[in-house]
Amino acid sequence: MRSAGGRYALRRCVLAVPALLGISLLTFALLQVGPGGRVEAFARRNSAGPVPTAEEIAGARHLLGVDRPLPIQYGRWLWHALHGDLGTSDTTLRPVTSEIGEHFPYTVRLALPAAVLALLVGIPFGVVSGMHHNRFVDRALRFGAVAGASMPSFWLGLLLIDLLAVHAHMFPAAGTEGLRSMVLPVITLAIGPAALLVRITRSSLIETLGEDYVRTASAKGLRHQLVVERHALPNCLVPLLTVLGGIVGRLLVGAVIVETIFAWPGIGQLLLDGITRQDYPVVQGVILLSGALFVLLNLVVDVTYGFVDPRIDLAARRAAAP
Amino acid sequence: MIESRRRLEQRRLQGSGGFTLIELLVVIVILGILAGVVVFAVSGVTDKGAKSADAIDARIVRTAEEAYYAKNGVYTDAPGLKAAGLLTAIPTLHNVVVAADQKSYSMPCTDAAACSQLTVGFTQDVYVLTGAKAALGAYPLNTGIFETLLRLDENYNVVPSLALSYELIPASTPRTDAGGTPLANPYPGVDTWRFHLRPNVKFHNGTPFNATAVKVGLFDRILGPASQGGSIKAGGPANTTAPTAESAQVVDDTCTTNTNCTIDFTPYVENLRVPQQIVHPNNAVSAPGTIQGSAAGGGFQAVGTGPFKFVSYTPGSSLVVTRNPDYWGTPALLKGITFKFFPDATARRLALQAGTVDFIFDAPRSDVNLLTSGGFTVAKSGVGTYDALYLNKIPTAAYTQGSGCEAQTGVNGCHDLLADVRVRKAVNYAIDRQALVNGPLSGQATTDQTFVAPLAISPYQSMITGYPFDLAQANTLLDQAGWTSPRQADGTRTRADGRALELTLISGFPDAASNEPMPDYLKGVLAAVGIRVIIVKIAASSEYSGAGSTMALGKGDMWLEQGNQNDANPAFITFVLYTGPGFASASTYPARFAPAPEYPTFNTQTQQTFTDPNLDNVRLETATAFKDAIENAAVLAPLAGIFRIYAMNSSVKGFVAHPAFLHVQWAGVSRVQ
Repeated sequence: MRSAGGRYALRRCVLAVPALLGISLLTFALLQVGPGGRVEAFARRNSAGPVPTAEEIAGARHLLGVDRPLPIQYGRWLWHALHGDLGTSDTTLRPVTSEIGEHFPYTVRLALPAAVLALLVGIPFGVVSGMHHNRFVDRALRFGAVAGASMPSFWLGLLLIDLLAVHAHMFPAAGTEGLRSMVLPVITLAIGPAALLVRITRSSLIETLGEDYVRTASAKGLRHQLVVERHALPNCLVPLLTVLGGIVGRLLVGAVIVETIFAWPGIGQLLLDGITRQDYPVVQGVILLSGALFVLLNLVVDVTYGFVDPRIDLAARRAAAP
Repeated sequence: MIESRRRLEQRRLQGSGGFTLIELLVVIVILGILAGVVVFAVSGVTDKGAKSADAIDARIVRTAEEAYYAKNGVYTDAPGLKAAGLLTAIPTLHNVVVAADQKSYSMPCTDAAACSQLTVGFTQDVYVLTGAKAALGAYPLNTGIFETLLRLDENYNVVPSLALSYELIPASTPRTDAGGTPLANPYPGVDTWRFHLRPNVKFHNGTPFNATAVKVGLFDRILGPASQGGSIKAGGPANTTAPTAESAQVVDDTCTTNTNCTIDFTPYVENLRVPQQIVHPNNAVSAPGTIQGSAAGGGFQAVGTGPFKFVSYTPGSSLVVTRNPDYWGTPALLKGITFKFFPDATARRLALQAGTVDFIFDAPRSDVNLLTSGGFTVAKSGVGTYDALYLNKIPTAAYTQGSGCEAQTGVNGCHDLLADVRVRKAVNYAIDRQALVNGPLSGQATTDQTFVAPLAISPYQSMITGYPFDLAQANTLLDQAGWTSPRQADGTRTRADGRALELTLISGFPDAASNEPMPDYLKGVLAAVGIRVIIVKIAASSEYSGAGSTMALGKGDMWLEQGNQNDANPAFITFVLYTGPGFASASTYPARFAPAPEYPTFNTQTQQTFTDPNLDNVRLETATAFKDAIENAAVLAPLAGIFRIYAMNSSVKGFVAHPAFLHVQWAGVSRVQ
């Protein structure tokens, strides 16, 4: 079992490499065909006049290394990226890794509390909903979950600011000073994932409650609450791992809209600024980081999945699959 | 089985079964809520304490003032109140400033952290941090760190700042420096501008401000030497070959009196608009040795002479400044300002309402009434901004009928229909500008059709009358242009060859959001005369210039733009768009929208604007050129004159609304309780 799990983990790790390579290639290619001209933007920024001269454009082309063939450009970029060098920002002339290093902690400061809040709200409500299948509580919670999942974050964010900052004066409307300023963006970020967790937990619990071993546990005379807590719940939480990976991933790669509304200088803002200023290395770096984070989180989830649920020997299953 | 059930039952009765998962979760949630409540309840205590102390201090002074007034019929200053026995000590948290007639007084804050700090909400952070245009703290958000030689006031007049005066020395007049040594003209035949600088000024880092500092910290930075081939910022003669000599020459570096601090500046082509151009914050004077944009990987720095000193900058988040106590003028009333960046306009407005910021730039037009009724002060400037359409008069071959573009729509469709001046004029007649101002622009605009800020071409703005709203005239023109065949199902006009009257509207300068809700409005009004509009919104303004942009390629019929007059040069826009040496060949505007050659007046007028010594003439020339471009050539279609709208809470006093937000002055702003 242990060695099968280990093999599976190793296999997943190896498979992550082409995925990451694919992301890097896609990122590089997207920016080649993207609108506007990096060279033009760079030259304009560094030109003393409103319109850069032909010499300035040629100089910028050479300086940025875009006068070389595309495969060589990609190869150089990838080689440097592998060494932790994502290039230099066209606008600040600072290493992209420094830029990301400055903004990423802000995103983490929102993402982790939001993930925890989503878990604390989503799972208990999901369990309660599942335990009261088709009763009033279940319907109310399902309605709440659908509403939560459907609310666009820009609307929810502005609504929360209006209610809790403008009218109730409980929290600042935006900014990064202190814990109070984190509350509204964290709630805005957490609502969607929490609603998703409620729905997943509920359906997973209902499905588990219909399993034979649960029926057996009930048949032997255990109270319903104990059956749920001891037998159904631990098993129904396993599928949540997969969802959780996606949720944390999405939160960590930065929420452009939420960060914009709350003037929060995280990775989403960095991406937005990069796009606005046509700072291609920054955009490239942030997208690569986002892709890599997703791949890594999914990798962790997949590997953990195999270890957490002893019923599943994924490696063996994959081997048996046609 | 029975045994285990009994055991479980026993444990349950004994209460030793530990906590269930649900119980644990409930406890954690409750603890979290309690912790949150406590943290938030306690965290504002210090602030509240400071505010209370400040309010009490203000109330004591006010009571004393009223008592003094009751007795003497006039107000007096703090020492007067103390002498009268109404105060035991001079207040430390407020200044008491009494009006000249002693019939009113104000209480600007001094050192109270609670009231002398201002938090300002600006739009997105778009500071350029590298290269020749690096302008942290200066442009586009002017934070009071830097100053220019001359300043643009809110009526588009040029007023003294770091220079007390200036004069034009003809190229034929010999020049010497303070020691009598002749100064060779770096560009023979070109006139020289002489600036008399303010004496006894220091940069924030202690460096003396003198002619050498102006040469290094301004002219060398923006004009050359040879490596940069630049121009005075915001439009001006930029030659196509690199300059060969230094433009700035130190005449007198003594700088102890009003007359012995002098620098000469000779542009490398004749430019008689230098004083009007040099007011742009990109032309601020930096302390020598602290020029931005050159040091890679270094920290951010901004060292000027202004009333505020740089403290810190967090990209995308905030910029903090503090009062410069050694300022050459009256020191700022505020102790410090924190500028925060809010890309989203609604979030910015909400931040003001919530008290997170005290002041916001660019308050949404549709929120003006809401803010006013909520007790906020809304300050509107004169018209400095315009909304306008550029109409594509010169189609690119690839987007002309017969090239295969008929099968496409949007940016790749054919864009040759506006080559007919009748269609361009029909577009103009079809727009009800008054309805536009009253509706989509929420009444916060004017129907000016001058294209530039009317004050910049005063008193000739009335020459440009533009177009009345005249649907009949629009329809007649389109009929005359041949758009008379049976209309399509949606009412779009067609002509004999089957072509539909479909125009592509590009919206994206300065960005698509700033132009909202104009595109949909235009689509609606043009549909009324049988013109179908395809709207293309673009994220970056780069699509308006540069190789490969939609404008350069001619991939559109109409380009929507919100522009701003940021300096005092009346010819700024005509020059940048059409006639500047070095511009005309590279810029995409003349290739697309130039009124020449059939409108020679336009070109003659715009070319004269840099060599005409009479500024009033230049205003007339510019007004004449715009009248030509708008009313005759119909390549420019002004839609509305736009105010700048600033909003603040009632504690903010002394703010003067400027039509160009990058010229806002902070030194005279204060907060009162």
